Amino acid sequence: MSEHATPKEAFLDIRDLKVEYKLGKDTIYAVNGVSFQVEKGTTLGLVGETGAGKTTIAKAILRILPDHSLKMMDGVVKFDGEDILNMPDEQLRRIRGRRISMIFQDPMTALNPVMPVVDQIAEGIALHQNKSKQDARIAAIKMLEMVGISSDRAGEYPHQFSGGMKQRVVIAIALACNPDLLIADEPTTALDVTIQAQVLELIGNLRDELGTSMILITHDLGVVAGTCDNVAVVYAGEIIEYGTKEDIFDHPTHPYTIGLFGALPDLSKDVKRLSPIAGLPPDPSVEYTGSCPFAPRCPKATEACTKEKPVDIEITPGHLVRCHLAKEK
Amino acid sequence: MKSRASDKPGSLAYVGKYLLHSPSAMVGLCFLVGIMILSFLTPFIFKYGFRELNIRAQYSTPTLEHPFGCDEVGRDIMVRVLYGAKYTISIGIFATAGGGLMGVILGAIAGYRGGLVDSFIMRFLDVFQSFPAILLAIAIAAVLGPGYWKVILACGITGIPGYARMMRANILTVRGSEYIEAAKSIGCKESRVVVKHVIPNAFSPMIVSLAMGVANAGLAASSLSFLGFGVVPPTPEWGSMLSTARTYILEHPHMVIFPGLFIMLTVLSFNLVGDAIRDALDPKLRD
Amino acid sequence: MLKYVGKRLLQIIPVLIIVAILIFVLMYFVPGDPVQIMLGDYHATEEQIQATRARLGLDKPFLVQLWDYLVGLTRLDFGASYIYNINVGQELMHRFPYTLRLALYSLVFVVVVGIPLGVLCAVQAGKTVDRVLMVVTLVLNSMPAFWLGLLLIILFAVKLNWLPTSGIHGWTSWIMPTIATSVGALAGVCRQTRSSMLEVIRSDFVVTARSKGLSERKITYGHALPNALIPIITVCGTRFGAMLGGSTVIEAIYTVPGIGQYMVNAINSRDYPVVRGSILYIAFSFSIIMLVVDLVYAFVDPRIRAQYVKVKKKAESEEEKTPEAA
Repeated sequence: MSEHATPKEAFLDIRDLKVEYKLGKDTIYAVNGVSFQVEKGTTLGLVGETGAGKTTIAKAILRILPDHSLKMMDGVVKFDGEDILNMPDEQLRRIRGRRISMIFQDPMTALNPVMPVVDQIAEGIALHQNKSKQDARIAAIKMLEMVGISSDRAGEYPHQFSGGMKQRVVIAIALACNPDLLIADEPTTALDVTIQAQVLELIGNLRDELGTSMILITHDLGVVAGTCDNVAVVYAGEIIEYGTKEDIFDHPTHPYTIGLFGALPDLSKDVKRLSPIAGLPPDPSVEYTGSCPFAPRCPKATEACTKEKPVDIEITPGHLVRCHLAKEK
Repeated sequence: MKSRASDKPGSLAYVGKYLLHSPSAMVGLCFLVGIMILSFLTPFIFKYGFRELNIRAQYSTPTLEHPFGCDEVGRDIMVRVLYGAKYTISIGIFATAGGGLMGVILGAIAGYRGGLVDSFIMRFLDVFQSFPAILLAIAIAAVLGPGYWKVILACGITGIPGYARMMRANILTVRGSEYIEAAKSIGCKESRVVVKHVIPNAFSPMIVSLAMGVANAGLAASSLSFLGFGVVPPTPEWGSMLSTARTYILEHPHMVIFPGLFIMLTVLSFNLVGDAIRDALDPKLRD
Repeated sequence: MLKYVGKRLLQIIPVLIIVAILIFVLMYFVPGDPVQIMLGDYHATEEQIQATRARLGLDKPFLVQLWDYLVGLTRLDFGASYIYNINVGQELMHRFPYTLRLALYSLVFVVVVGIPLGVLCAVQAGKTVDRVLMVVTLVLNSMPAFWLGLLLIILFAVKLNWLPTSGIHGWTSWIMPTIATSVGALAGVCRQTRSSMLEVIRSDFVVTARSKGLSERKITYGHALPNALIPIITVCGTRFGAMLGGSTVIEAIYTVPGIGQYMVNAINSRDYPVVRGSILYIAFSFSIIMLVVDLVYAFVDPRIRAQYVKVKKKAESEEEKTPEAA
């Protein structure tokens, strides 16, 4: 992906995004200078451990981070040339749900329990497509059918649906206005294994049908392999490796990425045991300004790793690695 | 990341520590303790006694000599108000302690035994909860007649159904939780499980409502006295002082101001402490 | 649903019977003899006292009195006042409109002002408006209603001479009683609304609503508030029940001729039929309010509604697990 190096503006262009939360007296450094681009019609996978800051990145794009604990949000998020972070609320509301929409992690809590599901879908349609309540309802029922829920269940409430069905409703809400960018935040984590494949296939099919760009957040590398064009590996609120799916799968370079792939059981090879990544996830209340955040867990850490923060190194065009060791290669 | 507290959240030591660091709770506590001490010391501090008549100062509006003014027979209102603090505060505390204890016992029995005992206790409480609390207090006070201990009894009984219900619900929640099963499965005796696990865990949510209950009981007691069913004149209980003052409201409104103000400040102080205890026990509400 | 309402109404009956018996027994043992109080100041002869006792049926044995009273109740006959010799049932019906109006005005005031203020506090949590309102409501919540009532009289009747001191003569007479009755409840409802809104406002479904591009107003009132209503309704219902049961103290201060004042006067004069009748009436209306509150819950929350309606969709819900299209 050579676009990365060129100054040409991408469809979604994020540069040096930083997000800090406050928690009691502590500051949580959730996202620490993240930059990436998503081109029209492509899918980017954000992978990493729980708590690495993936969801925060996603919510920052829509500016739906919780006000009450947000301390600082900085950087540039440009969507189709428009500056999201400095946009007036009024203008942003015309983008939310219409041009960018999001599928949330937990379908159990993402739906309003006291509103019939069809109304929850119709609401956005009525707002963004200037339709009457009646027409919006008809469109919403069509959406429900599209995600595989029969129209006679449209008037029911979320508690009458199973987890998988709820996630279909959430997907229907997200896709109702035919968005240009879909952010799917671990859309299958809360579901039974048997339902996961169905939901992913549904999202994939709808994306292809509607030509939507997508950011898929997951910690399931199998899912990444199946759906993504590009992959960004997130660790401690930073993208420590970025490249095409092939770059990351065939030539993982950052020790963390290697470790992550090592943690995946490979059936084709005869491995004796899984290799988990040693050590604990990084403390988010520490700002790693003078060292590599992965250094304490890194099997190859050198003295330099604890003294100097690594910068991005482009090892092949479009394949970026934030690691001191990558220089030598 | 949870905030690090040296003590286990929910323990009494933790709550105490939290209260010490909460400015509003400290203001409330200081007011209560201060006025309680003043109440007992009035005879030694002030020139006038709380019963001392002074016909020349009858209906006196606030002056330097009598900062809160004087009442219909020339008694110093400030001395009477301060002296009367012990009634409202102690009635609130005793009534809540008594009613709370009875409620907790009944609720614990109902919740733990279940079955017929449970239905019997709960139906009985239904009867008491079939009318508003203040009317229940009035009815009981009417039967008992006026007097300090009788007001405590009336306000205490009124609180029982609420506490019992809450305790029962807590017991049911705790009884169903896994750590109780775990304790049983490793062979703990039932009595030990109840004393060591069920009661403490079911009780801690009660602390908040008990703290708030003191404020309500104090308020109810002064309402009873105001209506003539509680502590009666010449005892300088605030409600009964207001009841007397009400007769003179058109000509001498100053008599109404201070007893009511002190009821409010006292109830407010209890509420401040109660709020702080709730915050201490429920970190979710803090931010 | 109807079946449920019927069942609940039937459950009220035994409670009322026990209340009736209990109150009779309690009143029987109240110190103070009604006849003594009635004839109080006159130097009544022993014969006069006996005659009055016989007229009131107080000379009969305890159990006979209780039986007569219960039999009367089955015909909705509460007996007649000892002192005024007026039928208690009629008097209650005559006084009920006053108590009802006071309670209704107060409830409307509480709901219309208290809930929006609470929502405002939750939305502005931590900001100046919220902090000020929280302090104000805490103070108001701690204020004894009867003291507030007296202060209002001093300000609006004595100093400013805008409103009548007591009694009911025209609509201006309702202003002070309504304010005095509702201020505590208003503060309580405001605080309850704030805390239950704060819990809801951080829910995931509110984030979903925001991600749809809805306006903050729509999110707050269309999504968050309906989910925060249950505890608010509980507080409103309890307060309304208490008001309908007679804002005893307020009625006494403003001499509103309602149920509460009727009962307090009757207790003082040992007018037992009046006390018994008032308490039964109050227990009845309070139970009805509690039933209405439960029905409002079901109206507001489909999950509670589902518990009342028979689970007829059981078979269909089994099919959920095998979606039709994939």
